[in-house]
Amino acid sequence: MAVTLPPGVSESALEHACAAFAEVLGPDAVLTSEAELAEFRDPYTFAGWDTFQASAVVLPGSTEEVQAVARIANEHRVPLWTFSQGRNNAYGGSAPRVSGCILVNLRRMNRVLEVSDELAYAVVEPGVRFFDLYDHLRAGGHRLWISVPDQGWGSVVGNAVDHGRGYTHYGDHAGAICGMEVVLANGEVLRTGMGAMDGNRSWHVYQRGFGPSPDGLFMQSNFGIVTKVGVWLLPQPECLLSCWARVEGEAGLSALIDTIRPLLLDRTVSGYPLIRKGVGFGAWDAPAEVWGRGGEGGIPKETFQRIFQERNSGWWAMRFAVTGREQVAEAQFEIVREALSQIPGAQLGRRKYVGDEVCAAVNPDDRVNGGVPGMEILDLMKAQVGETMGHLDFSPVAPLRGADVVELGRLLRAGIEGHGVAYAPGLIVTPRCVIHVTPLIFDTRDEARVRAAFDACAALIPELREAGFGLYRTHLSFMDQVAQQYDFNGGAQMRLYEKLKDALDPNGILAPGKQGIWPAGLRAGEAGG
Amino acid sequence: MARAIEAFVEALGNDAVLTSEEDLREFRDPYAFKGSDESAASAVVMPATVAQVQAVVRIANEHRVPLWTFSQGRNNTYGGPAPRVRGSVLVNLRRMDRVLEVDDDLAFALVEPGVRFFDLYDALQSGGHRLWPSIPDLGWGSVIGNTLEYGRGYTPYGDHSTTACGLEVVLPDGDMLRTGMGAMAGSRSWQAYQRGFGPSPDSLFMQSNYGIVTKMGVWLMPRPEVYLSGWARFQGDGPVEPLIEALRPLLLDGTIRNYPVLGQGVGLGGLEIGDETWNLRFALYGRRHLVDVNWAFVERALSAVPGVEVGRRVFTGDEREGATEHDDKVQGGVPGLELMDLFLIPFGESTGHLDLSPLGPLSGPDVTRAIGLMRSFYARHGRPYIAGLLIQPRSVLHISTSFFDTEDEEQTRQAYAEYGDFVRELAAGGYGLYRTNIYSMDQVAATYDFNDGAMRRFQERIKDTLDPNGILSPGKQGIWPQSMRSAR
Repeated sequence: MAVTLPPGVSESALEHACAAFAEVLGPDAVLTSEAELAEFRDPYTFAGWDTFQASAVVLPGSTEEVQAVARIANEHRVPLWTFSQGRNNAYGGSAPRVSGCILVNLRRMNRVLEVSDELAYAVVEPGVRFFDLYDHLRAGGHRLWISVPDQGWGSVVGNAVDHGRGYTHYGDHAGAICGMEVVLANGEVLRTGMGAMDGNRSWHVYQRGFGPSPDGLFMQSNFGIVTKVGVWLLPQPECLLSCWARVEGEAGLSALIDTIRPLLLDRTVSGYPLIRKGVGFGAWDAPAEVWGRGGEGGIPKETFQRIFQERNSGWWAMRFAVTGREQVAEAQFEIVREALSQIPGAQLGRRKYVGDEVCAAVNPDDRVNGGVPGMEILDLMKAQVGETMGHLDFSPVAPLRGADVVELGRLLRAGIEGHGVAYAPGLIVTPRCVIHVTPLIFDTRDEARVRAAFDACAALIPELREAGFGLYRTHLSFMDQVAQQYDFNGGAQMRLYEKLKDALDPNGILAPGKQGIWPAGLRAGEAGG
Repeated sequence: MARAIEAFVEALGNDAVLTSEEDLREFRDPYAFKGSDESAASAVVMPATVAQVQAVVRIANEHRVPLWTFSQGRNNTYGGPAPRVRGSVLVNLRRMDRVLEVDDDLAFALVEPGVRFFDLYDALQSGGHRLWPSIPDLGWGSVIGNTLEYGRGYTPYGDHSTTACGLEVVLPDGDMLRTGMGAMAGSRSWQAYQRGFGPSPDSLFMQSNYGIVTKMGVWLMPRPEVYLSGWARFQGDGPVEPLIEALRPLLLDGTIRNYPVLGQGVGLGGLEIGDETWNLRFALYGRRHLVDVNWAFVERALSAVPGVEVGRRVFTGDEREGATEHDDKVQGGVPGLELMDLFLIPFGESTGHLDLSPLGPLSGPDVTRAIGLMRSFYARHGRPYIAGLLIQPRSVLHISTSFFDTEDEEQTRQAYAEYGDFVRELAAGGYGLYRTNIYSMDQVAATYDFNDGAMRRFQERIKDTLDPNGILSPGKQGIWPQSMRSAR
């Protein structure tokens, strides 16, 4: 099968570029065979579609090597697409927006460079996964919690720079970054914040610097390659109350939203709750065997069956946490109990963990509440469909008001079920908004079902826009369409992005098309995909 | 320039353009030598709407006239309203003074640049909103202006640049955009979610000259049931290190959620030069029984440090308007101007002062080291060390103040010269400044030298692309447009 070439690049030009990469990085750091590239396709799409294909993969092992990669790409005018771990699944995984891109795979840069117990931060390279940081902290006896998304195999850096979320106090991952090192398109190294001063003591303790802060420019964008970040960590709380609440129907959901809001605003409830249909994991007080702990093979099928059965029960379950000093946490839980008792039929429960007991917790929701990484949610989805499960995530934002959340939910449900797909959302709750993550789950072998999921999203994008709801993140297929929804003042934001793109990456070698931002050379008629 | 002025008058009306020397005097740097013209403006324009701001910017581009923007112009000790480049036209945004929206459920306000902390507070009080703003020690500044300079307040929302949510910005070419979810017309979430789809340019417009901010969302604190204004006091530097070590975990675990201040040499009665007393202020907020429980933890931790005395004053959420002590007001989000008199003590009406503002980590030994550096420097120059440490969970702003008589040219020159020496010493010690006055911006910017000034090159590239004619606040934070760069 012929190699997929980037737009405007000949086969010999690509070969020359790869040879240059191999000379600097070593031949084992440049992959070009079909078998090697297959690993980096979007895992959650129909295999027969030939969209979003890479032409090669390079694996730099250091910031200097990333610089060299950027320089070579500029010299040879070949486009790159970077990933840290490449687990951006449901949004495209490690696949590039433009077919023919050379993937820059940062998995080899996997060191935890520093941990400060005193100032509660770590400094990590892009290849460090949530699992790795967690293990490093445990092994070193550090009493510091990380924040994890529901799946722990992703990159701490990669997740944060795509605006990803976790659930403990520092669950706004982009907001917990303090100090970045970035390789620009021209190969130059930039350090942000106080790191812009050589020998400064405060790079990872103060989020600004002197002058404008460009950190936010390197997130959900293609303006640079992030090679190091400082990430703030939470000193291990004395007590974790891992809680769940259940309410019935739309009325219950609406009341729950309006009830939890003031408790988040005044920090009675810590971190970021998650609301799902039915039971979820948390609302099920079950012993270890039910969760497959202490045995082989993970969570048993019967457990998942029970969860699926509950999905259509009309109930909503919220996972949340109260953390802090034991005396305070217990008092705060009572406040939550009192508030929820105002909702007819609401149920509430909790499990208590003191110190680092949560590291041995059996309930998957408790583990996430305690910053312990796992993969149970993936197992849940696979149990539904099989090993060839895939999902496409559709994730609009709504203000945290019961009425708005219900209205958005109705639009989503109608649009998704209308295409024959089940509606099974996970609402990430923040003090003022909800990120309504909606996974559309399918068997990747069933082309019609996969097609239906993508069609459902394409139709929903303009419909939600009409109602004032925008997406916080999206799959490669929709990046242009979603970017177009952000049209205030005739698309002024995109005009700004394009100016910045042209200034920072004139040859357009970094992730062309990411978030709908195209280099000048590819702007008029989008190529690839 | 004359034709530019004509164009401004035509676009904004006669009463919106000031050119007389008398009118312009108000907009000098109040802390420069009185006889100096170094940062004199050539005119002041006062747009009242976004469209007028766009018109101003387009005229400036057409006539190649440098502008310098201020929201209220109270950036005192950093230059006030004065421009870096003499002869600039000041863009005075005081007429854009509306509080556009207050949302009680989602706890935010949407404000224009001319809205002062006083105005926001008044709007919240008179509207019956149970929401508290975060304010700096002086309430006369602009909410937007302060935020854009990385200014600080003292409630849990005191890190102003991180509690802003959604900007509207006029770009140097007259284009206008909204950030975050506001980039979608008709979005419901402009002030509810801080990011958008794609990169966040919001903090690109802070401490910079890339755009004029015409609206900003600001998150507010729901009124707590009870508000405890706490204090601690001790003599001599000995307790500083253990106090910092005791305080930090209380900040990191959220027991104390606001931004404490540790000061010496300044009291409400006046300047207490030579007094060895250190005063700490901090606050707790929330339900009464929880505040009591948290107070017990704080009291135990801080009074365990030998020599430290601790106390508190407690207010219910709806009675803090009656607070009279400055610290009680400011930590309760009640704006005032009590400290103004203090600033006039050394030399009367013509007293000027300079704040030196390096940032360091919140570690006891480092704080001790930094204080030692500051004491040594001030002693060498025969000045008192007047300190205010603005404390955050992981870092601290070591603010210190020098006073001088602005009518005395030599004294004023001397104060700024010493400041420059100190900037050098601090950088050598690994401390950078978080903010500085207009005369020192080039020097401070140059201390950010990693990779041979990579940040400066980056900032210049952005400047050249967004403002090729270099009309917006040239020289701000040491960022110069291409046409003025070689002269530096």
